[in-house]
Amino acid sequence: MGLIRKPAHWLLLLVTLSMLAAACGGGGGGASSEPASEGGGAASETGAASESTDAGQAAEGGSVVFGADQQPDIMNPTLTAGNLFATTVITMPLLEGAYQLLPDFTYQPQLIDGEAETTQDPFTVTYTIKDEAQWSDGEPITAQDFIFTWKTYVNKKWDITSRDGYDQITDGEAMDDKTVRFTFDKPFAPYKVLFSPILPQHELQGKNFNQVWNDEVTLSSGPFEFDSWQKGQQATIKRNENYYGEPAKLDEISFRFLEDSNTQVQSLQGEEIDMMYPQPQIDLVEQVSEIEGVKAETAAGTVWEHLDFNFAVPPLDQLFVRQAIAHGIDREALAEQLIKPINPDAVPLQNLIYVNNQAEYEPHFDQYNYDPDRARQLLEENGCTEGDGGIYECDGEPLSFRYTTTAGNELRELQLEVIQAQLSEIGIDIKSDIGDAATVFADVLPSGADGAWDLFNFAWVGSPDPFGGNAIWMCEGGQNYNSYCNEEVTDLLRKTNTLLDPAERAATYNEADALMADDLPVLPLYQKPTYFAWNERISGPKENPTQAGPTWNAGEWFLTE
Amino acid sequence: MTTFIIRRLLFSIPVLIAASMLIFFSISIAGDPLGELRTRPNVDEGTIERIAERKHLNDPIVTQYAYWVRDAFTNNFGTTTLSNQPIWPDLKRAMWNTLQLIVAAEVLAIVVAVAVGILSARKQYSLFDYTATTLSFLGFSMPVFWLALILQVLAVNFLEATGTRIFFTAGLSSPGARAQGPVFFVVDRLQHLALPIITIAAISMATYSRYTRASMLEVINSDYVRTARAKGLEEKKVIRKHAFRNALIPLTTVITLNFGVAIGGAVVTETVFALNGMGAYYIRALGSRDVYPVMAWLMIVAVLVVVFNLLADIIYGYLDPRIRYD
Repeated sequence: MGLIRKPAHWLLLLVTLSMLAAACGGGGGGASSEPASEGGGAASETGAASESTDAGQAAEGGSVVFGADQQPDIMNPTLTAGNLFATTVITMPLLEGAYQLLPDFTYQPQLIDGEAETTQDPFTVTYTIKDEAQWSDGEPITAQDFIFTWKTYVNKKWDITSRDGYDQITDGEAMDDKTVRFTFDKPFAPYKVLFSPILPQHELQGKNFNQVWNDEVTLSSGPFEFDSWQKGQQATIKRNENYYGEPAKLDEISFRFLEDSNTQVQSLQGEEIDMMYPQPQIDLVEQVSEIEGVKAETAAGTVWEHLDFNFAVPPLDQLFVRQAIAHGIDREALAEQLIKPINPDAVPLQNLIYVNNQAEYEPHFDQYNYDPDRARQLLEENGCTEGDGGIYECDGEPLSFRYTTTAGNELRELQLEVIQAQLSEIGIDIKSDIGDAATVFADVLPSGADGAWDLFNFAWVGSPDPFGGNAIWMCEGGQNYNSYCNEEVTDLLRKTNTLLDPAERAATYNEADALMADDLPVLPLYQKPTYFAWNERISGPKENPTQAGPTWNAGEWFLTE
Repeated sequence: MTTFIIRRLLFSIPVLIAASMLIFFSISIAGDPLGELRTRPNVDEGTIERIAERKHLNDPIVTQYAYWVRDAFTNNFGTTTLSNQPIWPDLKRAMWNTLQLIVAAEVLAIVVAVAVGILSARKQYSLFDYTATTLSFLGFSMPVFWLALILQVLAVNFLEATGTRIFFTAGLSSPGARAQGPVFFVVDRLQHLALPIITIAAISMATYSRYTRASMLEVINSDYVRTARAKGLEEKKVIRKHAFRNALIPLTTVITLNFGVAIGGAVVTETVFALNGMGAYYIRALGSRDVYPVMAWLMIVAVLVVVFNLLADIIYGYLDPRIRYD
């Protein structure tokens, strides 16, 4: 008997306690809605902002909460496990590089004083580091840090994401404390992507780079420095008081990890977070637009959707079949229906190498406008005949293709339905072959040469400098999964790495793209939109659709009173 | 009793071994944890190869399993594949987060459900009984994500209407809450946990109150309860000592089993309220095809289920002295 009683007593006690606590909770909430005094959280400051009439006036300090949809695995942005947007969004205001990526996809000197100087033969790059540039512990940023950064990035012991370019450096020489020259074994035209971020030698030398910055970034060169990381909840960065440039206006920024985008919207409305940068969905954008006092910016991002043709699967190796499919898909309508509700400026993408925010962009793929009659004509001209069920047959084989894409992605599934319907109009049968992302990317996509797929819809992440894409389009490229090979294109792409004149280089890239538009290895669809929303009490945020991400100018953000 | 417990624990060992092998093999076959990495442009081939080497991904699956067993016993379940981060601290934190949520929600659910269930049984077919029945069916049929979202919306609307914050809609605490002192921290934590607790408690409450009502009804109409009443015992004592204690046995089964599973994490609730508990941990690990954290999660949950089953058996023995195990 006594044994039953005891737990019962415990239960009672616990319940009483929790009720008491809940009652206190109400009181605490009331207090924190009053401005200033206690709380310190974002909510109280919002209260102050809304009561004030003098908007636009900069307030001293203050803190901002950023709703992030993923927690990073580790904080080190240069390691493979840290090569995620979740990491960069936090570390971008901490670690500076030789160059910084601007929203218009151009590179601007950041740690260096003026542009780097190059010589052609041998190819060298000379950086002059800003005199005042220093680490958050007050130590100057020197030529030795640049050399240490290079040596760290090429050290095979460390899980570095990309060594491209660094592995072509044969020598690094400190001319003086603030000047450093690197010699390359051959010209490397996209050199502006290198040396970002710069690592502090005096802090990291002799340490295990695979471990040392996993839980915190111990030194910073940017306007903020690392403060804390409560795993599973939030990470906080605070103003770097030793920053060499214009000091950050905010005291701190907390990144709160909220995976669910609906929760982010509720939290933004409830002023538990001040900003969010979600993967935009139409209903989410609508919800956010209804919240008062919230500003949003959208842009065409670097992630672009496309439909790949597998050259290893006949008759997709025939140009007219690919052309018929391209003419049979209404890309205007796809962009109009799927993307325009989020980004009103959305248009189909017409280039495989440049995205349409870039000055170098030329619309070579606009020859594939929606034209079902032209599509049928192409098939008939090449001896295909309409067979059973209105499906064309070429050489006795019906035009029926598998369409592979990722499951669970609403946009892609919708897209599949639309494309399926449109292609059936021109007598081409599409069979859905969707699978979960891990399987289709890890197993199906790389086995294209073995005929594992016919048509594949996925997205590439473009980069402001297109050299990363070469591996997709060159005959022997590591990411050429559809067996496309045009020697001329490969030669042009190979040449781009050595062309130091930006105009000449862009022209060569576009020449290659024009050839690809004729070959049609891939049909570009559109760029995915980015979406950045924030509480209006914050001034200064500006969407940066490049890899730099939304926190690229966090040092300039301030609260309005 | 002691021999019974030891026997039960020994029996569970082969079960755990079989479960671990089954899960290990099926997850390893399901996909390559480095697959996503391989499709990312510009990721250094050498780096990928070295990670595969470090985690023995190129070895036969049986060898991989042996490495896992070694890591599980000597290295607290080992490290994650990609970032090589120790698993145990993350898992421990997730477990603690879930535990706070589950214990509070279950306690709340049990107290309310037992009271409602007893009262419903005693006043069968009364207005109270009908109301309780309707509400519990509502609780059964409500999708968790919907209830969670509605609670969030209500909390936000209340804040906008009154300017007073009672509940937070996501997370475990406000940024910098710990620095504000222990009282602020605890109150802040409760403001964060209240909505998820209500969500989980609402669902459990529905189940438990139905069980309590059903088993109470069965007992109340039995001979010994009539005897107890006939010998002039006070109604309160009849219900508490004679009826309720006997009615507790089926309820114990439901609660202990439910609790063991609940520690595995309330996936939906944890996701909506951003609680970073066991459920969220499991989903993330599974999504990354990373066998080590999935296995660690699984072993913890499996052990807990075994323990709670055992606990249920032990409690039966105390509740009903006729039940003997040895």
